[in-house]
Amino acid sequence: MAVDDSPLTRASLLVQLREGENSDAWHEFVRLYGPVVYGFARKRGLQDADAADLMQDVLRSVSSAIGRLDYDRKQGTFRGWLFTITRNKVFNFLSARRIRPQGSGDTATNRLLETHPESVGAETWETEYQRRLAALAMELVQPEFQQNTWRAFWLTAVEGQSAGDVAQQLSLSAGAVYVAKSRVLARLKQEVENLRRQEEN
Amino acid sequence: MAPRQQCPERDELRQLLEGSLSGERQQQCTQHMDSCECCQAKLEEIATEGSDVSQLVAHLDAANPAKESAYWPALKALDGVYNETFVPRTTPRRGTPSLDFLLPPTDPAYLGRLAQFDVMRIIGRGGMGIVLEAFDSRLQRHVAIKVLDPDLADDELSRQRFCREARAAASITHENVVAVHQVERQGEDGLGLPYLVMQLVSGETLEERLNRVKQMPAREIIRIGLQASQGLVAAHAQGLIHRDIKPGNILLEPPNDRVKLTDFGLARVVDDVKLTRTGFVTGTPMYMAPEQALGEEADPRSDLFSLGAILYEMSVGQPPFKGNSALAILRQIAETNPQPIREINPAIPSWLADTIEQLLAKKPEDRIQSAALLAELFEYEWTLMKATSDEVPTVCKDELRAIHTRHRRITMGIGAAFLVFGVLGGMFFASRPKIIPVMVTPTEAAPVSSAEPVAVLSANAGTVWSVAFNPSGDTVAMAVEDGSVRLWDWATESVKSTFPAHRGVVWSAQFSLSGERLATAGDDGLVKIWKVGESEPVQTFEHANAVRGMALSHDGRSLYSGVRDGHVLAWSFDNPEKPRAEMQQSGAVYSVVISPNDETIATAGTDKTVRLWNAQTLAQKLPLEGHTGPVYALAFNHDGRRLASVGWDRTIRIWDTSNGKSVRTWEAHDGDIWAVAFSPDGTKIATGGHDGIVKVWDANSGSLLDRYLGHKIAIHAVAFNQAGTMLASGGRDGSVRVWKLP
Repeated sequence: MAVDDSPLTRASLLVQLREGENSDAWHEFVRLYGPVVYGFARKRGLQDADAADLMQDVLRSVSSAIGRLDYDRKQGTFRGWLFTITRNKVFNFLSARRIRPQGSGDTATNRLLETHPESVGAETWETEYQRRLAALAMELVQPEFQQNTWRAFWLTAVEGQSAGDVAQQLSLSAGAVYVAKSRVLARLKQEVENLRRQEEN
Repeated sequence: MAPRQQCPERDELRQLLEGSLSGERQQQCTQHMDSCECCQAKLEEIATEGSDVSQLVAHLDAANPAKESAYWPALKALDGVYNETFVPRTTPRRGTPSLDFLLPPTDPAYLGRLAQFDVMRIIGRGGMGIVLEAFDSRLQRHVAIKVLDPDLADDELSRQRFCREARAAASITHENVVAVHQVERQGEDGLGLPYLVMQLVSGETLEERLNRVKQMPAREIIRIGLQASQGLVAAHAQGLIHRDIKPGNILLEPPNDRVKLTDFGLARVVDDVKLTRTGFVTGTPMYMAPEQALGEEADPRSDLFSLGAILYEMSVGQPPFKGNSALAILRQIAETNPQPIREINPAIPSWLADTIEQLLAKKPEDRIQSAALLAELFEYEWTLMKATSDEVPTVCKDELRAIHTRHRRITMGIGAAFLVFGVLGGMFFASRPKIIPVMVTPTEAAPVSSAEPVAVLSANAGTVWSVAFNPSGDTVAMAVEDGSVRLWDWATESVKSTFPAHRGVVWSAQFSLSGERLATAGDDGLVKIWKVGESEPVQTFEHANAVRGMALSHDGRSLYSGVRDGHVLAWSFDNPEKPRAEMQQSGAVYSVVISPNDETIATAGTDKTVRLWNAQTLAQKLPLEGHTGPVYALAFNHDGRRLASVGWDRTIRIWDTSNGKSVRTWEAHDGDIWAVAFSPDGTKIATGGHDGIVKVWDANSGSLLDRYLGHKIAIHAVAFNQAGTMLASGGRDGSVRVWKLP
């Protein structure tokens, strides 16, 4: 697949957003980063509704600021900025929720907060983002595979079922399941690398 | 089970993945995979080549929020953000702006004409408009005109924003803010392109100055800091945040380089919740406050940060946050502290460096808390510096400090909070114990008013086109540009109800005699009758065009409407399908009123003539001629024998309705007169003008009894309460003011 055909080229999304030409770009943008922000917030201990609110809040903030952004070609800068915003909002949320009994205990939240916010969560954020890229890559490559091949991959690699069980479900040999899984993985690896490269360009 | 084969070579496994083995060999290898754990692992390893793809996809099915998660509705809600946020920010426009909206010039030396303005040249072009230099042929002066970008003119959102911006900017009167003279809309009907007529300031911007002179002397920094903060005091006092303070928005007016803040193009009314929440754009990255960079809401302290960034640049010759891209700058603003000023330029006094660095605090609560405090501080130092440098004896200096100390004790109550905070903050007050900044109440720049309003009802939703008291006098109805009607309990300044009444402007809202019903007329060509307290109309009367004027008969049976296309219609409430009678005059009808005995209606509009009609049949009784321009408003007195008319020609005319003769005429305002009302006992007349002044006149002698100042721009409506003790006025500033009459 040619790089330029991808509707999800982040650099071009940003440019389109900034120029206000394309509501599809916003739509795609939200679908790219929404799950990352939401997932991060959940990992930091927010409940579903709070995480959803926070996701909405972060992306609104981005929308208000994006008009004046020039996309920075240096790797990951946008992601870093989005992380900064998300991290701050999560921090604020946790601070607001924190109940501080005078002179008493040191709750887990307190400990979390007393760490300097900058050092918190970068790894979680990165993982969430990489997993989101993998999810995108899956969306992109799925049409290239026969349904059975995809199912064999999905049930083993994603859902973690044993090859033997899957072979039975799909009336394939276990070997065929292994081959199918590995073929899809090989393709996915390419596509994830592709997406990462686009990020850097 | 098939017999165990020898394991395939690595190359063969790779070919197996690629599907490039022969059919037979592929089958053999696949079969081998059934049972050889070693090759199973090897195949996957070859496929992923040691990347983390396997780990990334593992359990990705659980990564998506569940179907019932709040994530999905939140995601959906975000789709709407695009329209709110990005539409006006279309591609940056370059090149020659189109000036199609101008009329042909009267003199070939000019580019064109806009109302009474001869346009001379284009000064510049910003995000939302073009700035022109023009000559006001009526007032014989040069002005700057900011016109909403014609390319954006179709965009209702931009137009509303521009008008809001214009109203906001026009409400600031201060010598350190570029004055906005008037806000107009092009075209006869006043619905064309909006534009802003401003003071023309010669001289250069601070940006241009900084391009020439890198570092500035402390004295200049203090002076510019002082004047800029004073300008901000005036704006903040009006509830306006600039949001985009940068060197390019600071003009230096010759001969003394007086600071003039301009381009409140991005300023928004603080309590304009809708726009603030969606937060369309804020500022230039280099001078932007951290909270703005992080997409949070700006407050007055954000302007102080921006001013601090400018003062920093003037001190050291470079902005506090630099980077190769806007994003890099944003991150720096959010995360790093600028290099200390005195490390770069030791000539800057330490108190000034401390002050600037405090303005640049990341958290708004760590900054100097208001422009007034900052102005006070600069003023003190400025005076001190002049005292020191201008051969003033030391005694004087000490006296100055003493005065300041006295001042400080008096205001200790306010100061104490800052003192405590300052000590904790440890930055600013610790090094400057001698000063406790004093909260300054900003002085009114407008002329002293003869009375204060007893209530200010501020909707901030656009121009108020009509006001009315209910019969008991406790409620004021306001008809607003945004299509809403608001009912206020004016005594408590609280809104009792707000309802969307029309699509487009609501031109009129009137209570029935009982006060139980409310009639509204709108730009959508509808007149609606509402039961007060209900949100659906009980009756609707349709018209082919906008209904600008409306009158209700006192017997509760008839409705009269005046339409923009010149029609005057008489309706019976028992038949909303079809008007009882109709007539047409030339041009738009702006006002329709009915006499107390319900026998006569009067209409007026663009054709300069006031007309009296038989209320039953709409047979014309008399034309009343004399006005030299459009007539905007009419009022009958208590017995119906007198009619007052006002309009474009700045005069108020009193007519004898029995013979159509003019009884008295006088020039009442400096500018168009938009509104007129008789007091219920017929002894007084109130008028509201484009000059923003409400005047009350003796109806018999025409002598001026009182002036009420407060609206700084056009007043479109005035109304007495039934007891004649109160007067309400409303207009372009989006507020209604209630005045107690003597």
